Amino acid sequence: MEELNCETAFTIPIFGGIDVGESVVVSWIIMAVLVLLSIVLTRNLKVENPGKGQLLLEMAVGGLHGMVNGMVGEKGKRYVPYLMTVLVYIGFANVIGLFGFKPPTKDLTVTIALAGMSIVLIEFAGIREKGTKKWLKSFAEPVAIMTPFNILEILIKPLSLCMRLFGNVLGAFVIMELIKIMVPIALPVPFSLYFDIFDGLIQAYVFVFLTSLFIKEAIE
Amino acid sequence: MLQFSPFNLICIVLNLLILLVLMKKFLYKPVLGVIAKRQELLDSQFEKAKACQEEAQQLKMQYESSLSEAKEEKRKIIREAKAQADAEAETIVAQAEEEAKQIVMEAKKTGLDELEKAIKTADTEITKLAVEAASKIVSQASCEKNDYEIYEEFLKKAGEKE
Repeated sequence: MEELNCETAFTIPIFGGIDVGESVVVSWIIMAVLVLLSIVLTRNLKVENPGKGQLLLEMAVGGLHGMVNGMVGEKGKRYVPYLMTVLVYIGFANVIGLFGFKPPTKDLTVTIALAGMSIVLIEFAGIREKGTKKWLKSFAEPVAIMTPFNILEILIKPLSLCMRLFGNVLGAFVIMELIKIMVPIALPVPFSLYFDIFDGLIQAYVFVFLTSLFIKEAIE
Repeated sequence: MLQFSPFNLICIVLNLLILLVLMKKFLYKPVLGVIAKRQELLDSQFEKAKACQEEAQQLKMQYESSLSEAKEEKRKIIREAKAQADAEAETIVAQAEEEAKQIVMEAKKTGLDELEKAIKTADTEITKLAVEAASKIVSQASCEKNDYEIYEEFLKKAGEKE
């Protein structure tokens, strides 16, 4: 069962020792990989006669941009870079199990952080678009009796986001570990394809899709 | 698994924000910038092509109109030249006819004049001869020559004159 634990990677020896979780360290690795990849791939981009690699990169980034842009709508254009970043980060975090790291999204702290940022962004977008007064009023819509539920939603939305991601990744991780213990040869491959890659990317997409949907709802 | 540490949470949030900034700087901006630039280039080229086509169309129309104008003008010039030539020919012919008539008339006139003159001279000659003959007859009344001879002589002279 020790695989399930989120271990402390190291402890900063100040204030009586601050534990830095494994998920944070893996996040750093993901960040480093992403940024290095970006720098390497975006070297000498050409406007005319782009190479195959550039075309692929453009297709990936442009497609991602178009997808997120379509989900969040024209008004929410300013939130597209954040949503794209979260999508790429969660995608990488879910898939990184393939490389022997523990997925950071298996750590509840990470999903809480992601969901918390999402709800902050959603409400911020609402306030920015409508102004504080209208935003406060929007809690009483469509009828006044809905107000408690609307307020509850502020908690429910991120909770569901956080738990969905956490549960999926944890479940996938547990099943994969079990399969690896039972049949360590050949059988884990198709399951790994599903749980590590497909489910991981789907969860990343779902997380961003729901966040952008809420943002769209908030700014309309 | 289910433990929660506020410090790690803050770390993750900061990580994400830093990642957002870095990705924006190193991935989205360059790639989307290049895509946008290419789009711009394409748009401008399309625009240019469109403008060129329009210009060409306009030029073609201009040329066509000027060509038809030139054709019309050519036709007009030819028509005018023909008409002028015809008129000139007509006048020339008429003039020539006139002249010919005049020449003929003049010739006729001179012929008649000549004839008249000849007749006149002949008349005067005849008269002269007659007078001469008469005077001769009168002066030679005593001469042996008879009237018949004198008459013969007269006729001869007149015949010579004629």
